[in-house]
Amino acid sequence: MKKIPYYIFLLLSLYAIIFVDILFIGKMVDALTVVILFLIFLLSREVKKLDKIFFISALVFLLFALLLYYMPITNKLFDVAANWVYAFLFAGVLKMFVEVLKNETSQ
Amino acid sequence: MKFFLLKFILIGICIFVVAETFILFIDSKQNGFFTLSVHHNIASVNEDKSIEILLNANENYLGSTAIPISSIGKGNVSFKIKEKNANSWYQQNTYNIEAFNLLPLYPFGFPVVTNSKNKQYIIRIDPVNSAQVHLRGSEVQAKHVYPKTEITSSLNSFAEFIIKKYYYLSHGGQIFFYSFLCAFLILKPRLLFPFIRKIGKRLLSALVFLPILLFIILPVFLLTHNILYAKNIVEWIWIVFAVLILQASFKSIKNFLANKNDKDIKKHILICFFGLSLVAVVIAALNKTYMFGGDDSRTFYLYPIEFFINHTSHVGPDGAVSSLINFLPPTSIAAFSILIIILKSIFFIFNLQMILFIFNIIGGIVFFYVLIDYLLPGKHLTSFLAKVLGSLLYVFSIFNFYTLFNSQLIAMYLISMFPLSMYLYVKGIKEGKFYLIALVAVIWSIFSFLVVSLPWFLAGFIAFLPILFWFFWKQKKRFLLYNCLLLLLLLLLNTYWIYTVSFSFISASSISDNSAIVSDSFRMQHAEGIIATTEINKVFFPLVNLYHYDIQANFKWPYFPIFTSWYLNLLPLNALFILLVLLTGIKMGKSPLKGIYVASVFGLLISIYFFTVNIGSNGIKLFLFLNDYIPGFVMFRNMFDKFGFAIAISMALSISVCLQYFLSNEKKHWVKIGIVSVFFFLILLNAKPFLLNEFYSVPVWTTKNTYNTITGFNQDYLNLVQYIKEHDNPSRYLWLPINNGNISQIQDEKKPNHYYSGVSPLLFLSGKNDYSGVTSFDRYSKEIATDIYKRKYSQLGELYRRFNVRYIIVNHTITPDIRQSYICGEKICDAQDERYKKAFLGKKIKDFGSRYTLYEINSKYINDKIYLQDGKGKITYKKITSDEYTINLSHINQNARIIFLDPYFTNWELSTLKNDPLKGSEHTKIFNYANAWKINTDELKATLPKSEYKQNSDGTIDISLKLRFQKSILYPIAIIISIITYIGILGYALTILILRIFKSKK
Repeated sequence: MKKIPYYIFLLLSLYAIIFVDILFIGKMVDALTVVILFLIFLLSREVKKLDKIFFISALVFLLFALLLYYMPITNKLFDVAANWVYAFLFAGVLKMFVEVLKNETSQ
Repeated sequence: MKFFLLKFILIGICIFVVAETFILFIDSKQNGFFTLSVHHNIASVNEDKSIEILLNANENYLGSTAIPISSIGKGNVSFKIKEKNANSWYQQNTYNIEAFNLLPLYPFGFPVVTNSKNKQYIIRIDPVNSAQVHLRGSEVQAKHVYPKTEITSSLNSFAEFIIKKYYYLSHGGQIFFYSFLCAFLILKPRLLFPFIRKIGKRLLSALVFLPILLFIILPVFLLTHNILYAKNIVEWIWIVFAVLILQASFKSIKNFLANKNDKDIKKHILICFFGLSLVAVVIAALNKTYMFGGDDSRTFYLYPIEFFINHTSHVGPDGAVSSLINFLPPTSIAAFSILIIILKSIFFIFNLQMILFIFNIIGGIVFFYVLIDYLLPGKHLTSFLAKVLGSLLYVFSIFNFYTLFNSQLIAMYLISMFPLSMYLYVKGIKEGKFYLIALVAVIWSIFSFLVVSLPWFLAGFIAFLPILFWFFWKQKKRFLLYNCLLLLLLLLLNTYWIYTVSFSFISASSISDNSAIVSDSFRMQHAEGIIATTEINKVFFPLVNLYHYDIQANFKWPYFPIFTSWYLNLLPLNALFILLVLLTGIKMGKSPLKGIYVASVFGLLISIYFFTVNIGSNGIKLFLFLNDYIPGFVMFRNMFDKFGFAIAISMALSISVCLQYFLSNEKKHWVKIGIVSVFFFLILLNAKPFLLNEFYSVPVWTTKNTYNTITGFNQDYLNLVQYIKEHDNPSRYLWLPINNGNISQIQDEKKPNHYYSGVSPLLFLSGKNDYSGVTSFDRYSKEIATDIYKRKYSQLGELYRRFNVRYIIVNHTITPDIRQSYICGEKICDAQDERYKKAFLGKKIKDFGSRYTLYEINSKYINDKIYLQDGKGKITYKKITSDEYTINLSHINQNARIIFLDPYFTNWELSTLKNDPLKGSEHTKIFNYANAWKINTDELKATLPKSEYKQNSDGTIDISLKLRFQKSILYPIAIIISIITYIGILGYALTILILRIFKSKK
């Protein structure tokens, strides 16, 4: 059996934390968010496949937020998911900004 | 084909389960988890004037039914239900029919029937009085509300219930069929498309015969009294016609696109746009309705000269509307006021407000296009379409509808002037054309971007900052230099009013202590409000391009019914906007659009944060931190209003960039058409309530049937205004009833339930000031309200005397609907009853039609604007202008004190007619707001020449004085500086323009 790369475990753990936060805690703690996004950023620099992970994650959480919005749940979990969409989109744009800046300075 | 069948079945089942689960969630959200929703075709219907439906109940616990019912007009219906063959009705209820059209299936509830399984029920709906109702579909929904204990008692009953729920929600196998169709589509898309196309073409050709066939069948149902089926057939005839028209349109567009080049298509689109715009302008010009009211009354569109003379040209005293102290000097909008006077003289008899409203919309679309075209150059049709869609999204954004278009303040012109000024600003700096920067300064000054519209403008500018950062990264020095020059020009253009701040309300220490927008107390006072407002905000809604839900629901905003009945249904579709942004982020590699994409999405994220604030665990704390440490940041305390415009502009910029990227990188023609069509229709769907005038058709907040669009002030009011204008005494007018705020209600001439509702326009129209609500009395508002409720009339009369209330206008047009609304909150209008009238109304002066009566105040409380307190003597005075009076004193002695009931300013100066100062007289504040002078007659006798006064035999003196509001000698210079700068800039820009035209002709 082919060895599963370490980053998949790390990513799964990070996303598990996010899902737990959305479904059970319902409070996006900023410090934790920064740590998670930074770890994902480091991974995305190391693993080429994860280049667009922030935007893809934002998209997945957006769909999840929409699903939660239509679910018969009284507490507003969909907004916590939307908070994560915002965070991932912000991180994705920030990463892209760094790339643009790098390109500009190298030219 | 290996494992094809297995894959097909597995995928089909998966889709079926996911879709069913999704529907189950939606159904549970709407009806509750323990409710079974069973769809029935109506077994039989007897639809005469009343509707009778036979319903077969499949399950127990029948608790409600939802019926596809429509209504015309107003009124009630009685809803009855009973078991078939039962003698009496099981339940009867009355419903108001107005809400029927809001829902596809309207729910009618009744006590749960426990043993309803396999029984038939008769439902009867009888209209009461003139109410008209009819069925618009053939399917009703029966809802069986199970007790929670029965479902959760055992695992078996729970599983059985879930299976039933899945079964009933599958709509007779429809979901099952579509699931497997999707599975086939996923596995063999190439097989399916040609097949559908072929079948589709044949079907469309055959469709032409369908209406004929339906027409033939229709009489059969009519003759057999099957009205419901006949109705369905008529609906289908319309649907088929619509499909045929769409097919023909699509074919003609396709042929048009095939035969024309990009340039021709653009030309045709532009012709259509400008043709429609012209029609809209003509309709607007001939429109008779005005949207008056609100914080600036908007009466300047009809009475621009009066507005300028009586308000915007006022410096210092007597300029506050309805006597409420304004935050900003009225002179700050003098330039705008002059522009309106010029426009009114051009469009004289036409409805200037509506013309400018339409111009603002057209200008918004055109100027946004010009701006984005400069930022994102591209000559292809795809680029053109992306920018057009962006422009439409910008103007027709829900955020603009809820904020700028809703308030109709001068800030509304940001919609057209912001993109125009940003275009001139960016182009001016980029190409080193200083005259464009000078024009920017003129636009910002005329439309008061730096004063009245500042919060919205600054919010939009913050959202635009990343674009500027990206655009001028390599021209930092020029950017800074040009901005410094721009600031200098702005200073020169606005000197005329900046100078007046020093002697206007904003700086009057007694008033600004509590109200200055930059003061500490104001900031602290609003921190609590910020927390309360932002705590309920959810980032989910602006992310899907929708306004915040909870603030509307909690505060019962008048637009909330439109939001729930229309915009919430668009929610999944509106998610396409942010999906497009995300997909662009995913797909974008090394595209040259990457820079502007990052800048525009950053702008969007910034605006969404400030619009929502409640993001993450520290979002609110960050906002409060900014509120604490950035001077003036408190102006964003109503962030849900101020940052709406910022979202509109940044969302439109982001979507334009994303659409340009997708359309230019997509090779398939039909995909491009698809993307453009989807977003075009999505923008149209979002604009629908605005285009159909739904926002302006809602009643005034908390009223049931009172509206604030008027065709003009009623003639009685105009007669009253004319009388007051000609009346000599400058004392103040009190409205009866006074309301809870600071607003006036003036009935329309033609429509009795349409009112002007806003700050009192009496000052603008007559030059005389009034008190329309308790907040007109500023810091005494609570005291006034308490005295009214507790009937402390002598105390209240004393307050009225202090505030120079000499006349009372009784308004007979305040309806019970207004009395129960927020306008008369806490029943303050009802508290001013007959006893109140008896206590305060004095001599009747005149009736103005049946609407208004003018009285003098009860002689017990009679007062004057200028009077003598203490000591002996007599006083008479004459108002020359609002800042100059002449006063004649006779027989005054040493203890005389002159009281002047106008806001206290040190600029008020008392002198002799020959301008000699009154030595020994002391100017002090009285009643916490007004002016008082103690006259020292001995000092006067000692210092003034004898020709200035007359000494009487009893030691008293007669003297004539002049009371003037002193403006510095520099004030006229400040006005001249501004006028010269305006003329200079416009002349400079015009010269360059003429030279350019001349050059291009050569």
